[in-house]
Amino acid sequence: MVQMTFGEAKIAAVAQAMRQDERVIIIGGAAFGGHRYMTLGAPLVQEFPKRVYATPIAELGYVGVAVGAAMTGLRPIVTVSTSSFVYEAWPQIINEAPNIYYMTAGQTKVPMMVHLLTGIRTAGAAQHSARPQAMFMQTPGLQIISPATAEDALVMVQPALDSERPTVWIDHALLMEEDIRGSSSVQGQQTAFGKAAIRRAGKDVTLVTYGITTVRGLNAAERAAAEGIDVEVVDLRTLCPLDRDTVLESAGRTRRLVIADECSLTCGVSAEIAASVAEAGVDLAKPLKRMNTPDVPIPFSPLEEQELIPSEDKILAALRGVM
Amino acid sequence: MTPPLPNEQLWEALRRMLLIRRFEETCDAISHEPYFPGHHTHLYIGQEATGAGVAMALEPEDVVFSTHRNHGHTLSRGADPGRALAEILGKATGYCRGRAGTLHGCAPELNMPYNSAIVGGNLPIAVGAALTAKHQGLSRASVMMFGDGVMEEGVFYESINLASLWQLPIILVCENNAWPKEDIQTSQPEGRGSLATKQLVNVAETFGIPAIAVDGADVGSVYDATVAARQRAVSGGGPTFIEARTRGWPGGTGKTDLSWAWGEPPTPWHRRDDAVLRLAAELERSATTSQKQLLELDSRVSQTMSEALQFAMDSPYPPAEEAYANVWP
Repeated sequence: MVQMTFGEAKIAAVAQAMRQDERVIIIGGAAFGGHRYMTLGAPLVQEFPKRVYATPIAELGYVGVAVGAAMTGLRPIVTVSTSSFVYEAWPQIINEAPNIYYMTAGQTKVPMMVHLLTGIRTAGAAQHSARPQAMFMQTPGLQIISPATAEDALVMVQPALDSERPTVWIDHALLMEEDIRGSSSVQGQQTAFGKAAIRRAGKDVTLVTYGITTVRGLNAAERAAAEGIDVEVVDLRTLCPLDRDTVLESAGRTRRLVIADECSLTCGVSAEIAASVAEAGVDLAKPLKRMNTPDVPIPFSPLEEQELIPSEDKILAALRGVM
Repeated sequence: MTPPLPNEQLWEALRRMLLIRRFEETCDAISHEPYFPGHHTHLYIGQEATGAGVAMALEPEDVVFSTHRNHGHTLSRGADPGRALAEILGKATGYCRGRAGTLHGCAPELNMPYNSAIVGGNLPIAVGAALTAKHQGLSRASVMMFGDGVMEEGVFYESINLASLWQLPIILVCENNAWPKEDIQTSQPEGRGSLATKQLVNVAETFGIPAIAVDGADVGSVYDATVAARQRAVSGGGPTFIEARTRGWPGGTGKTDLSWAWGEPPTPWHRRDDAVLRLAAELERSATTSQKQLLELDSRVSQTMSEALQFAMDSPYPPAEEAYANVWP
């Protein structure tokens, strides 16, 4: 069991990767914590002052620089901070990095990682609450990781770098806060990279989660247990590769399914899970439920914002709804 | 201006430029054939001296990036014309097994690791290659060949800002192939329809990047500027901006007859702006080179090009099932 917060764990993982391989550099000033945890990356700057490049406000430029550095011998980790800013770098992340290995018929690799603080983080309003992960899933050639626990933050960075694939790290601005309340080291079992983890075994209903919804889903599952509903929580861990097998096996066993996903409903991560379950002909006792953010831009004002978030309460209600 | 290149190098420059010319004329000719895939090619006719002049000033370890108009860059870097044309035809023998085509053609084995066909797409990537060189203390330059249209894209400004801030070893070769009617040596053109600045070099200088404008149809000037830029790059002096000015090929004149160099060219463009004819004429006027030698060179290059076309035509397509390969390392 890892005794550190999620925030500490991810810095430790990056530091370890940098100690192991001097080709690993950071572009973007080690902004792993966003504006609420500005000093989170400070130990990295201290230990590797010449390997952390602070940048101008030029997401497209510096992500492109990382692509070029990666294909010529470095292993850049780019910190974009708030994930909404990644839209400024869209041409490089969507239209260059994932196509290069394919278009050169396997001759040129782009071993880089882009770290994003996604999510509805309270008071981010429509422009600082982005959840772009499903858009990335529409981009063949991009690996997408979404560690939800401190343990996973520690064990998933190195294999993602070792894969030499352009990788997007879907982090969540509230994961660090969730850790502070002590819910980070849930069932810290080691699972192979690219495989989903069963965070909590259960026999009545399968709850598919990743990132922040893993934390909320595990809390909801405990409350459901008190009501006599035995929930199996499947944490996807990586969105590409997507471990459909574990989802199908679990849903086939429990015959009930809820998918909790902070993306907007339409064509979100949950839509792909639901489609896979339907396509595989899993015989569900009741129609599955998707617990997503509605197809609405995110409001600034707190009551409106809370109304839209796929919260622990709403996940619990969805679990009750499929029984 | 006396060309800084000795005569044998001018001869080599002409060989490369003629190869590009014959290659592009071949592409132009076959682009209307039913077996030609894709929409059209972006030809390099008229800009051969820029490609050859830059390439001859570089070392094999330098990393070169290009654009959608890349045929001349890969050829002047030493690419085999058969494999280059096979790539354009989508054949398995192409430099990227037909995955890249005309728009994205590159040659990783010649240190041209990737070509983006998006205007400005390769520019920050080239800056990244320069970051690798500086970060690892390597004595090599990153070279970005790009058209003037890139300066209409926002990424241009982000990229050159980073290159200058971090003093990266990059040579920014802006191929301004839309030079207007005025004399190419004059310093004050009328301006362009799509870019508010009249002087491209001023933009680079504003960002603290040394900049020079050269006649892009004069291989000696291009070579000279690139040698200086490379020296600056590998000695820690940071980026250089070279504007290579050329006038666009009017098209529709068919295959170039090299004897126009000392005879009657069909258009004013061929007389004034055709880089190949200008260099051939210069060599013809020198004491060491005869018309016969020039025509023999052209004949050898044309023969090479015929064989290249045959090789590309005879090459197989990659099989359908190969579509699933190389998504992931």
